[in-house]
Amino acid sequence: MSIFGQKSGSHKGSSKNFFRDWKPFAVLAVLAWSLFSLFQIVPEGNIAEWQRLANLTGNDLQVEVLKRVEKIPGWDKMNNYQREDAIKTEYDNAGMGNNIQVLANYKGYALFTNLKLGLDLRGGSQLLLKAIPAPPEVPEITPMVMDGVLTVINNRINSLGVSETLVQRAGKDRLIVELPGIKDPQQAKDRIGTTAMLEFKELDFTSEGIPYWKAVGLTGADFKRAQGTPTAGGTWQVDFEFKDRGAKKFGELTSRLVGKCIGIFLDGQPTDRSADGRPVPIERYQGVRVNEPIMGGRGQITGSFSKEQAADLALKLNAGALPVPIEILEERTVGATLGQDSIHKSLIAGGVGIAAVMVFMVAIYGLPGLIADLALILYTLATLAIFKTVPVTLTLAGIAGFILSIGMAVDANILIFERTKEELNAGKNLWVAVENGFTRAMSSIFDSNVNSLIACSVLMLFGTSLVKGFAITLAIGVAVSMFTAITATRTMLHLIPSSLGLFGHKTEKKANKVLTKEAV
Amino acid sequence: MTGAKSKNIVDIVKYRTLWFAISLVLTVPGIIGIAACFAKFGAPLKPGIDFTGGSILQYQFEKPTTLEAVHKVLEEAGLTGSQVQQTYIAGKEAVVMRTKAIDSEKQKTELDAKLTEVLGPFKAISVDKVTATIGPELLSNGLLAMLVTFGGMVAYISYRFKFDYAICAIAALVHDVLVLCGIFALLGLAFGTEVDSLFISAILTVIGFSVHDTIVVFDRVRENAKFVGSKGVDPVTKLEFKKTFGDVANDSVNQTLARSLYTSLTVVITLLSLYLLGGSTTKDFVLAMLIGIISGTYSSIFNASCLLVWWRERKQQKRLPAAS
Repeated sequence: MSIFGQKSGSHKGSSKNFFRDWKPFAVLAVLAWSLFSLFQIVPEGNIAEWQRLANLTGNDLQVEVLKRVEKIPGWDKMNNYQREDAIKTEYDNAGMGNNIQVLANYKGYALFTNLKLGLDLRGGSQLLLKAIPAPPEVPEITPMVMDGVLTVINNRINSLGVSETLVQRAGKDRLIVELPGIKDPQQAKDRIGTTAMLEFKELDFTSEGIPYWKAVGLTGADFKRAQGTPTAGGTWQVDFEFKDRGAKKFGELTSRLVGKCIGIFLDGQPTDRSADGRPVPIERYQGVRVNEPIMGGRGQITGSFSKEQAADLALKLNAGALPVPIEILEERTVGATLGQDSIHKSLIAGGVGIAAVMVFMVAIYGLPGLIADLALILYTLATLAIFKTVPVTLTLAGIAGFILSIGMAVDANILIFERTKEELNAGKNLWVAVENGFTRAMSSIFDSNVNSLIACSVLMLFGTSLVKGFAITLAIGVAVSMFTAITATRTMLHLIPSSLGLFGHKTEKKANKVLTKEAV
Repeated sequence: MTGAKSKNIVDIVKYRTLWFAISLVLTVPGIIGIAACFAKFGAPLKPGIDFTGGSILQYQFEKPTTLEAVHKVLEEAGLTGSQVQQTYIAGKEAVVMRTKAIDSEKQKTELDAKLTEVLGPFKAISVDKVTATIGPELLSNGLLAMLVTFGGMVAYISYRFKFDYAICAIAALVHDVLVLCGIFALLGLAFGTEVDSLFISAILTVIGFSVHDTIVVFDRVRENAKFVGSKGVDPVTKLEFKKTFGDVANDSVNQTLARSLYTSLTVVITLLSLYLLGGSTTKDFVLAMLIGIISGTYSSIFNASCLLVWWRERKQQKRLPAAS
């Protein structure tokens, strides 16, 4: 118990140390950042406008977006990539309109936040997909073919980011895909809808001497992995590596075709892009000249891609090609799985619960309990602000993780208080008691939180979307709770004047003999 | 604090047989329930439509209706655990119902009749059979993730504490998951309570809480371990004695008792409020967390350290005859 005995002396007259400390500033900075990024105020009209944009779907949205980007100053001078970026920003705005939670209105202005809520909390887009037989290889859609389609679609959707997606087989040849949050899931549709069938073809001539591209039986299915990398010219390419069998085939093919051309096709279109950003027409496509046999099984797909295009293509190749083409039969928006009414009730219940916890803390600890409450408010604001910034799609599983992390944040405060109380009981003065109590509580806070973080990282690596949603909110919550415990709780405990005292210890006592007795 | 035995509220380690017995009473019926579920449903718990798949019906009612009303009719028709969502088809409001598999034509006619009777006429947009949203491969993926997680936890706790601490923490965790699953297996048998994807979230939460709680207690045991062999005074007989590992563990649990109870109480308060005032669709989910958190508190106070003491004492007994 007396390990920290020597240390106590150095902290006397500590208000000087306190103001040199970085922690109070960190608390204020985090508070300011949280408020600033979590809440926004704009005229009510703007919100109505975003929501109108968000409610458009498909073609209407595209028309509206194009109309808007053309009004951007300097649109004429932009190159294709800049234009794509501008269009993407507008689509994002449209997406945001769907995730706005207005908190208050005042004199024509609205205070709002925009947390992304998951499918179970606010509904989202439902796509109905149909697998189309591709004779001669796949003359009929069998359950086995559907398993393949399901796996690939799942892989592709999971790569869209943290969100509780749902993929379900319906009937013989259809899939229901539900995507939370956005009403016009253009990106998802682009990613889901394409077969991502990459083929290598050789240039051949018909008996009349007309050139055509002949399939050689080498496809993206022979890839081990693919990855987007930048080129010297500022554009991007996709590096790939074949599996053993593919590498052998590719070696044979390139040895045979030295000095001739190989064409690389994605879903039947050349991978090369012309100036307008679209694939070059097949009749103008030159293919790639084979300079020497390529035996290592590695190669590149060049085609002046933008960074996003290269990443997207690599991702599709890694997720695997669909065994058959699919068609999007319908798309529509669906409401929350849990029911709007049910969610509303739960929100109120959660509020009541947290209020009860706050009262409980004050009842048990008095003034320090109030400090814990303030730390808890800072914790909640900071965590939500991070959820918003990342952004994390909040689902019920995610909220479970959040509730658990709130529990852990409260626990950190309780641990610090209990230890401080023990130190005060042992007769330490206020400042020393807080410092010691804090240091000793920290070892258990640290170990339990690191353990939680280990669990979270494993779940994020291996888990399915539901488990991932849980893990990410818990991980963020745990990290923030460590921060608020280190900074906010400690700083505020020191702010309590010693005339008031802590936990009923008003007078400053000197360390007494009890200590040595106990350390036996 | 560390030494004075008189301050201890409960002599936890002394009565460890009692605590283990209580845990057995809590887990054994549950294990039997899980076995019974296996026999009856072919799964450890009664699986909901997230696991089994079922039917998906999209209906457009002529009169405006609420999701609760539709849900109630489905429940009355014996389709428990259904999910009802709202959607727009061709600009008009429609209802998406995910239910258990509707196999016979008769069952569907009955449901349609009931819906018409209560909610008025409707147009059936589509009726489909759907597979599980949580398929076997998703489940096995999740289990693999969990096993790797346990491995990571054991490695970390062994590194920061000791290997036997890690095993005891995992044992306490398995106890909590067993209690939770057992109670839900029994609920499934008695009241037809089904588990859905939310139940997986609840289990994850319980695992997180259980280990967190146990580590805090173990942290204190680790800190106090240096007092093993030091002198203690029996409060009643005033006799001096040498502290064993059991005495130290007992002190540690008592020192963390207030914190364990307060922390659990704060979580329980929040969950109780969600259970009593919250929406009906999340009741089972909240109940599962509540059971798990209470069990987690119990196991970290009464089981984890007692198990550790039992392990250490057995090891010592083995060593003694070998030394002599």
